[in-house]
Amino acid sequence: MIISMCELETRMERRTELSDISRSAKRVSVHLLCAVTALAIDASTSSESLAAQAAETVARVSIVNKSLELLDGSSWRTVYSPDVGWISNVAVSRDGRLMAFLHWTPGVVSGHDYTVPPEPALFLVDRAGKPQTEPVRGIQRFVWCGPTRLAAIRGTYWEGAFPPFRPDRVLLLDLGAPGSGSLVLDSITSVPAPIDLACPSFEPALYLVNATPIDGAQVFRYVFATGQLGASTVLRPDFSPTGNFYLVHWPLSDSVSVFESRTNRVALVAKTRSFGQVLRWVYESGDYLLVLAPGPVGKPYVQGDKRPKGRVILGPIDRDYLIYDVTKGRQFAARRMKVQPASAPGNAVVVTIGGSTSVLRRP
Amino acid sequence: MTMRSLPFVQSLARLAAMALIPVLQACVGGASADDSPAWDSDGDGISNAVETNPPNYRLYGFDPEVPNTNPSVAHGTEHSGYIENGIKLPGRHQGYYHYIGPTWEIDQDDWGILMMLNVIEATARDWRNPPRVCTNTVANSFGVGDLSWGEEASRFFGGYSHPHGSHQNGRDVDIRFLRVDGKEEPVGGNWDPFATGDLIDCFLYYEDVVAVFIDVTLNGGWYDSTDPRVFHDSDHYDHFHVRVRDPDGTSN
Repeated sequence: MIISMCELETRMERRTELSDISRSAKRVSVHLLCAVTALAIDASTSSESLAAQAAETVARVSIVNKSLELLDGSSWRTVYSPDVGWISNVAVSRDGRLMAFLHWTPGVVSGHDYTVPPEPALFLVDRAGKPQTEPVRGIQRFVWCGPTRLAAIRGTYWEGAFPPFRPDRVLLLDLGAPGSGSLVLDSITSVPAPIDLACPSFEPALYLVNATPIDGAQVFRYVFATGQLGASTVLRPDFSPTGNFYLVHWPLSDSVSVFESRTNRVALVAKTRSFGQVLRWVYESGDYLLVLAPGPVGKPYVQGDKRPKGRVILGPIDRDYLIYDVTKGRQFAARRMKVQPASAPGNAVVVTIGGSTSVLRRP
Repeated sequence: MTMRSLPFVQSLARLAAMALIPVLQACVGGASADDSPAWDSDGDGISNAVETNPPNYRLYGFDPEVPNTNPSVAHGTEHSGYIENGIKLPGRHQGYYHYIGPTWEIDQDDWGILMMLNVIEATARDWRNPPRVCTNTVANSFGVGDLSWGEEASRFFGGYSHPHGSHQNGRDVDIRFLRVDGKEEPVGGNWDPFATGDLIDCFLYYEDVVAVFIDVTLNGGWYDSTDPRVFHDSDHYDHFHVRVRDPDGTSN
């Protein structure tokens, strides 16, 4: 209402000739009051709408134009385009205000191989695509550990290795207040060959995986509040949202295992052909797995048969997925949907069902 | 038998021997020289390129004009094994090139059993001359990365080679994704899912291939196959992994 009154005042003033200073001064003061009031109202409305928008931030690297895109209603809007190289690994912060991604500078190839490997740098931008800090070079993997805090592994790209880099050290980054531009760097060097890291949602800690066991332990837990680092008994820190279970994808295998975190007892062994392909944890709470449903399997192949070709699509594809409740040991839901290669706050799963893209939430 | 019948017997024996030669050649592993493909002159199932690769003829005396037997044997499993008499893949031939994988130097990561090399070479021939499922519209050659470790001097082949857990008994190979521009270079940000999918199908034509590991969730899901030999593995997002069967079983 105040905005409407200010607008009316302005329109009336425009129609009146300005003939003396006093009237002009009064007009200026009224306009200033209107302007300040309008700003105050806009600010409060903006912050609410911004918070709401941020909570629904969904970002992806476009398959088509290789740019960083933000979901805006039902369409995707480009917020960052690399002028050279390419981007990958986009991750939205837990409060949805910021997006982190790796921007790769092409390496130098001689013959068939790199003489200078490509180098990634960690970029942090807001929803408008504005950089929040200087890029951090050499980051191979990273995770959000809070609204402004990240943990990252710095290293050198190494094609074909598992993981595809030679690690250097773990870095702790903290932006402070968004937009302040400050970046506090600390490092953890007592895990000498970090290959993976995770910041679970159920506790303020960072889990690090070393390439090889150190005194019998391969996973370590760093507590942010105290700075203490200690060995963990879990085999891998891919925890469910409750922390009660963790997932292990065995390399070059047709099975996935779920362990109880507290006891390390096996809770589930999921064979791909019969159970389906276990992909990751899903939902913000509970212990639910997202599983690609087992599809029809062709008969054993005999060379010379007219075998059907694999279908290649510039993804994602509509597929049948299952949601499996680990605690109850049974299927919870089934969905036919596209799982988007996108990121949302809290590492939520982004799906497209019936043409509508959103975060997959527990019913 | 009289002295008069001996020449007849000798002629009969000579005829029998001549009839047996092609049978013996077939047992060795190939058709007769007249039926042999151009890439395997003596029809022994070992390509000319492999036989003339210097480490191979130094180690085993291969001759492309004389049928040779396969000396290689896979022992143990792909995760705990070794190769007896490993054979070295040539660095380049029609349809493929070898690139340095993450293990060792280029001369030490390209050893395998004969079946593995034959699958690679056969797929490469198909890739250049697509008669079946290979489509190939861009790349002339595909990149072959790590097979198994080997050292000619010590004659030790296979076993553990960092950073691989498998690749131990000569039955595994890494194949680079193909680039959109077809260049024989690392993928970088130029991955071609269509060409790569065609190449996977090219390998799967051969029933000796028992497994292909690939990240099927890339881009939200890009390769949809009902072939039971295709397995998802999230570590394989810039190359895929091909494994062949153990020709003599796992009992050794």
